[in-house]
Amino acid sequence: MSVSNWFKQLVPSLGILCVISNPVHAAVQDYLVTANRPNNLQVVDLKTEKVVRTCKVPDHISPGVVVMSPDKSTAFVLAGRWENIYGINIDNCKVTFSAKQSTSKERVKTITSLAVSPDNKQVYTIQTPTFLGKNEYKVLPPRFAVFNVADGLNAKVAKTFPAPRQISTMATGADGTVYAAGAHIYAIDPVKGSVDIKIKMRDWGRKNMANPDALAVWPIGDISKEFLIMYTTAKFKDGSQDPATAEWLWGYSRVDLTTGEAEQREFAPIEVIMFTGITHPKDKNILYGILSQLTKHDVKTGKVVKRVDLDHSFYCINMSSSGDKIYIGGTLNTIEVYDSDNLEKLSQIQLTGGDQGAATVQVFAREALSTS
Amino acid sequence: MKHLKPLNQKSKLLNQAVDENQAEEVLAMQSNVVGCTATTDPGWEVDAFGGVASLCQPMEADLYGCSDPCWWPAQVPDTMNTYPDWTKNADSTTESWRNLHSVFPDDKD
Repeated sequence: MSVSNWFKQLVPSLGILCVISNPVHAAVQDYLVTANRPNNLQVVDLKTEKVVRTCKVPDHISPGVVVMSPDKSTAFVLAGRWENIYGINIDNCKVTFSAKQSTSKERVKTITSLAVSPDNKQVYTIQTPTFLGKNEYKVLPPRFAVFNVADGLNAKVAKTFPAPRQISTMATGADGTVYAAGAHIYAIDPVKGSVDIKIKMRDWGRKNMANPDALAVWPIGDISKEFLIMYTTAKFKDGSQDPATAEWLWGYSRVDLTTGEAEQREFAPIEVIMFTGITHPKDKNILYGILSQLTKHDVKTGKVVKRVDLDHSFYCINMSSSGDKIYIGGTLNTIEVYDSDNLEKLSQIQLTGGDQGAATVQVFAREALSTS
Repeated sequence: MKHLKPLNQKSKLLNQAVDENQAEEVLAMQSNVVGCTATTDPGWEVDAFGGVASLCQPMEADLYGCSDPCWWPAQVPDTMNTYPDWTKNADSTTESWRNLHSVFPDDKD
């Protein structure tokens, strides 16, 4: 367990004693970061629900994948039309790390695969390279890439090793294992350079169950210490696999980022489309999902507890560290706040600038940012 | 190459490649997939249920989520590779949608 997480858990239990003995750390609170056009990294104080920093990313913001360093000091952003990585200190908006993955002969895209080591020292991507010939493009094998944060600006890749194709989102477990969503949920050891299947997805071999179909674009789940990928599938009545009589279901593949425990289960009928889902930070039996509706699921019973229509479609869900509030964002330039108990809309946070598009909405707890 | 005159873009590129000593990189295109994705999922005009109720609403909310990742390059210009500046004058789809235009392949030399 990292120091910041240890402290986050300690504060509620020690209460006022902690405030007296350690006035700096006592001000631990939730923040939200997201990215929006043209090149903004927005930092929102979730106590006041105000934007407290609008940091400028020195590149086109697309796709705006954001992952926080485990010490919550630096937001790492995949920008530059899926090619470049920036580390931005959210205390002062300084760009402390940058890496351009492409060269004149090789175009390198990273399809949302961004993660940081537990010690904050390394940044990981999956590189999808294309050789740019004179009149021919050649697709090259994908590779796992390691960058050293200490290399600062214009960092070069420190290490690569082969990775499976079609990997998108990633997250780092407490022990340093990187979990990656692709044809399967993979467990990658960045030190050994090994890749293993953690949870089987494609051709999973479950009797009378259709192969799952999953969308993995938003690397959320840090607040619930999980790497969770939702999928849709069909449960057939019998070996005839007749889709007309099948039960159509939502399920998830989930890795507990603290223990590494893996789980795969169905939890609801397919009634609406959902792009992202997250379990309650304090009750993993409750799962929330969004796209054009916000739905609260009881995982064990498979029941929909409540569903509300949203003002418009939102891609990305996240939650407060207490689990009391739900934050939804992505698509346009607002964040909406909902009560996680009754799904009533509480407020709306307006961002300066343009659309978030496919940007990640990250929520995290840390000591208070300076107001200067 | 002295006795051959290039007539189309490809042969002009070959001439250029010879000058740059890169002729080995010029290959016949036989079965390349042109474009950055072959996604044929329903979702832009028709939802997964064959209707429209589960499409993103309004469509502007989904526009940059489709153009940035080159999700439906036939329906929405891709800003990942081919039309990187398509959204240049429209940071906000709901406020500046009139600045988003149809795209056409550029005429090369």
